[in-house]
Amino acid sequence: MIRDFTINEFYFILQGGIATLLLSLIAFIGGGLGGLTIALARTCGIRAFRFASAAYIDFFQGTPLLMQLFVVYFGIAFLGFPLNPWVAVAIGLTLNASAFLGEIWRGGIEAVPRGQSEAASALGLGYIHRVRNVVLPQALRLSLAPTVGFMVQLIKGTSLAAIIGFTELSRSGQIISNATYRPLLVFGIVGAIYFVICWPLSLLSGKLERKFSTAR
Amino acid sequence: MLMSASHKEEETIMRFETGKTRSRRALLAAGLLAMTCAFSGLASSDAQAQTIEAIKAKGKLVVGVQADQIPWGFIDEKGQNAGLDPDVARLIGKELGVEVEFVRVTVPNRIATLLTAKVDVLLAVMGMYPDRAKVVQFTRPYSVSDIVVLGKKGDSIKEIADLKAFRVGVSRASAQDIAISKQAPQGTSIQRFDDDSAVVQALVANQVDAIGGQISYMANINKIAGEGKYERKILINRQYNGFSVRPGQKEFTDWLNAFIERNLANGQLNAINKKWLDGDLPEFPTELAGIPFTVQ
Repeated sequence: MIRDFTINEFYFILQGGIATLLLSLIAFIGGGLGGLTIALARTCGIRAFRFASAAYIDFFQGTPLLMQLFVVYFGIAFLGFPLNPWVAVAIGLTLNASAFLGEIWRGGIEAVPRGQSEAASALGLGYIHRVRNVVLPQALRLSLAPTVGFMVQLIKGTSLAAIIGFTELSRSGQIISNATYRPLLVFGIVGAIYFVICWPLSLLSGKLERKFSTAR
Repeated sequence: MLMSASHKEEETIMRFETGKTRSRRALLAAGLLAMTCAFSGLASSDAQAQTIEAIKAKGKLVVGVQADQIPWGFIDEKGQNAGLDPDVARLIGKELGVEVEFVRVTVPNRIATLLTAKVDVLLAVMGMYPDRAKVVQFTRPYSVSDIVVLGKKGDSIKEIADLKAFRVGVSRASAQDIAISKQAPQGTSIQRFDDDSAVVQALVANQVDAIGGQISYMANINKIAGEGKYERKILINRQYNGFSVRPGQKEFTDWLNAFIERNLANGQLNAINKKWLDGDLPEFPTELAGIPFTVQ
């Protein structure tokens, strides 16, 4: 019944890798936009915004991503709004990544000395200018390493999308492992593909860090 | 009720999660299933009736099958769904005159997938247990998963008490682990491994003398170790599997029951069983306590 590991099986795993890449891309874009919003809300002067964003972060950091995906996909369908799995996964990953990136970037923003934004204010710069041209560039530098660290986590976290039926990299590895009984080989390949996806990110991060530090 | 349901679910999840049995994940999955149970009242109340006519008009039957359970439901070298369950599903499609569309489900998400109407029917090696029958509508059984002890040819294992003289391997917290731990005599050396393929490897590598597992392991062992070295020793537990549909689907359930009865009588279901499990179907019980086969 079990079969040999051939190029077909490798190809099947590779297709899972493509799904993982797409899921990660969705999470980065959604999480980046959402995270920026959360980070700004968390550090702004309006108390209600600060409170709401803190509650949001606590909730999404405090519950497992697996459960969040499950609730978005199946829970909303129970209420009578069936969601396409891609839409569901986009919502779930965005909500989750926004909380983590929001908190990372809040730390970065708060680490920029207060005098910087006070000086910008004194020079007559409005909120948008102040944030975009003074605070965020410095905050980005400070939070680069944890951001990349989280992104790498997130790539691996997309394997949880298997709960709502995605055949991504880990899941396709599982399917092939159980079809060939070659777990070492299969998960070795799966691991290598994850590495190939994640490593360039770490490289890029190192490069950017060097670039930023010379600019200082 | 939720507590006992999740406990039962967890056992079964562990049994079938052959890839990597991670207890933490299984626990979480059990929690999700408990939630599914909580939601299910809501789902069944607004579910639309699936008449045979409606399915024919739609032109396709959406079937939930597993993708990593050789030989029950898996992905073949062409990337297609294959195995016992997909074959039975295709037979249903043929009789209804509709196309069959497969949705790959996993043990943790299959009930939710059914209850949210993402599939019409599940053929996902789902064991018939009273806790599950409170949430889904089972049909009569169409296949069995036998939990057996497999051992070396020549070793004398005739009943479970004989295991005392041997080293026995099982996958951790699976149904076979629970059954053997409970039934084997005190002092039996039971070794627990993470998943099915590790258990089989341990047997072939002579780290254990016998293993508890599903009857379908036999084909895998023969492939790895060569034919005729190992054999089935004793039956420990028999699980009946049924199709499952959303509660209250009377017409559809009746049709599926008639389908099973017809194809048991004409031998088609047995032929499929023989093809994948290398054995004949047993006599099926006409009723199982706490599990109605028809809509009440």
